[in-house]
Amino acid sequence: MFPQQLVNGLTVGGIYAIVALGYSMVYGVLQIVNWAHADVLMVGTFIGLILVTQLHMPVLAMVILAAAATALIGITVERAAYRPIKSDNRRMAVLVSALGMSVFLQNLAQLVFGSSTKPLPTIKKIPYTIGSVSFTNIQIIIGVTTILMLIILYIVVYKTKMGIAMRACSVSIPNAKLMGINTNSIISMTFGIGAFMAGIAGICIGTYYNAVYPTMGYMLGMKAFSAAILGGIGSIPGAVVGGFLIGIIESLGAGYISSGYRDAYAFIIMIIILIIRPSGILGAKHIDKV
Amino acid sequence: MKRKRFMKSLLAGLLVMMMVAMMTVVSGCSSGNTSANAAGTAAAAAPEGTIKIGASFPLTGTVAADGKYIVDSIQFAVDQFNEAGGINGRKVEVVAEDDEADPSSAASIANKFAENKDIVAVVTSYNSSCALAQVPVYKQAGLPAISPVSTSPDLTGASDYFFRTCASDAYVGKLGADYCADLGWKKVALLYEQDDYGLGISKKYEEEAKSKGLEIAYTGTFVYGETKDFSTILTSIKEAGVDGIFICGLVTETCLIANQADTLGVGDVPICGADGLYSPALISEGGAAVEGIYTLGAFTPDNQDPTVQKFVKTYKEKYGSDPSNWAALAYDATNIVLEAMKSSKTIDRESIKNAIAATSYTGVTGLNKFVKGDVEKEYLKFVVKNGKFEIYK
Repeated sequence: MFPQQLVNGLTVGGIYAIVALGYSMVYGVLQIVNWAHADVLMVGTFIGLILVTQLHMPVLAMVILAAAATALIGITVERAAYRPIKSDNRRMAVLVSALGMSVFLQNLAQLVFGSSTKPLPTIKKIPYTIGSVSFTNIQIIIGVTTILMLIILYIVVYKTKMGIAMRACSVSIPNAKLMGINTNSIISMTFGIGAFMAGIAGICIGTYYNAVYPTMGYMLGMKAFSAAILGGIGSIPGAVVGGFLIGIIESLGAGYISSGYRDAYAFIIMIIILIIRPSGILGAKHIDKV
Repeated sequence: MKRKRFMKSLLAGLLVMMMVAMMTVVSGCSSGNTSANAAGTAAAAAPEGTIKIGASFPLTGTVAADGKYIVDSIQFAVDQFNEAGGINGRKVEVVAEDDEADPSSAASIANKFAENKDIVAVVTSYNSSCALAQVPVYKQAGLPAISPVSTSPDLTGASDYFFRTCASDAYVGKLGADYCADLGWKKVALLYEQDDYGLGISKKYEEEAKSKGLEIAYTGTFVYGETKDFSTILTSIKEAGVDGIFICGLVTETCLIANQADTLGVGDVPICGADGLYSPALISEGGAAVEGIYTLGAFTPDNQDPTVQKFVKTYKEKYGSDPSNWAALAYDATNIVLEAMKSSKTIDRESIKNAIAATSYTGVTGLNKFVKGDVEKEYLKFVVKNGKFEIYK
């Protein structure tokens, strides 16, 4: 049973990691929590659903187009709800605005798409079994996509000029501005990249569970946000470690202890780790002055 | 600089206004299309002498689709009644409210209904938790309420003013265990939703299974509307090696379980479920994966009884699809209220309650005769075959 539960955990863990990156990157640059992130993911998944069911697009084109649309939505959310009010460093106002955006997107989706759960028919499921472990082609695709996205993100953040600018912004926005960096466009890019990955993650999870619905972002967002905190918010490798850890913990907890507390295990471990390491597993060890 | 800031705040203001406007559209639409009558109540546009029936169902949120067709079905029964002349020419009107599947909203709606003296009876609540929140209010106001869907065992005998056309979960749990034993299962995995609905069925199921010699080899739980990943549960079920899985839950989760079972090598293990699965949504959401699922229900459009066939035909003409189990139960519930109005001498809450309590009404879902507000009607056994619910055996 152990290897099977591990595979189950790794699959969702990968998704948590990708979504957690969106939270972590935005926090790293702006020190705000983008509560609407998971709802942007949900809207992106619905766009994917429309592309595949109404326009009968091939899957790969659909994923790329839907992710691009999600990126645009992410950027728009920042432009519309965060940028106008973040000028005087009013973080609390931005936080509330983000919560509002989250509620708004959920309600909008319910109005436009209805509240029922819809299947997402992208690729045909083919089951495989190796030893005692069963898995599907979808799980393999999710695994490969996760790794691919992490590699691309690593290259973008650590090897490109834009990545340097992004990291500069995360150290200090005023200083980055003085260095001649167009901080606004870097912030937009950060939101865009986060949302692009979220769009892909949304389609992955929608395909994996064969279910798309307006509140799909809620729990996913909670878990991913916890993963970001667990790994150390603001840290890119931290978000990845946190995501996989939460996925595995909840699978093993549900498998070996009781399925009833499934959602609780991840949060319990998060609390324990934060007591021992307040800045998260890989978080920077600096203290915020309040 | 100043001008720029002004423009900025103007833009922000416009955006906020746009969002507010859209929100209003959202809430406006959802209450607007569910019941044209609801909007009219405040305006007191109702014609003289109209008798009102309250209806409290979730019209927004995750179960909005179910709430909507239940309210449609209530409206449908009332329309037929009005076309047939109403009560001495007096028309009946449905006042539908959205309880959002939330007990606190349900309680405030109950208060609203209780205070509105024009409302003489209420058809209420999808969720048992909402019904439980409303029952004391109705009892105090002396307002009779009837539910087509709230199945919690806690509602049995909860109040003299509460009735229901659906069977209690405890009764369904017993029927479920009978069904599993009939299928020849010896060892089962029991999965239940972690709320009143799932617990109500599973508790009785466990008791009944014991007396039938049915071994429960694994028990797993999930959270309605939240659990999407059943791989861990299914892995454990595979380990336990059972003859079948009994699900005390609803459509969405069952579809997920059936879908994920195939991939984890437990696709061949048959699934049986409570009456919550008996909905067309099971087939439309689950597709091929739900083939062979066993379930229970009070109503089938295939019933050749003339009353049922008339209902199915007229319903289909109006809404374009066969009435579901819940729609049929709502239709019966509404008709019981309407018949009670007809048979009582005066149209007031107390005499309608007495008339409902004394009723023995054979509707489209069988005989409705209330003992402690409950019915114990014959339930039918179904199996999904070729994308259709067929009567088992």
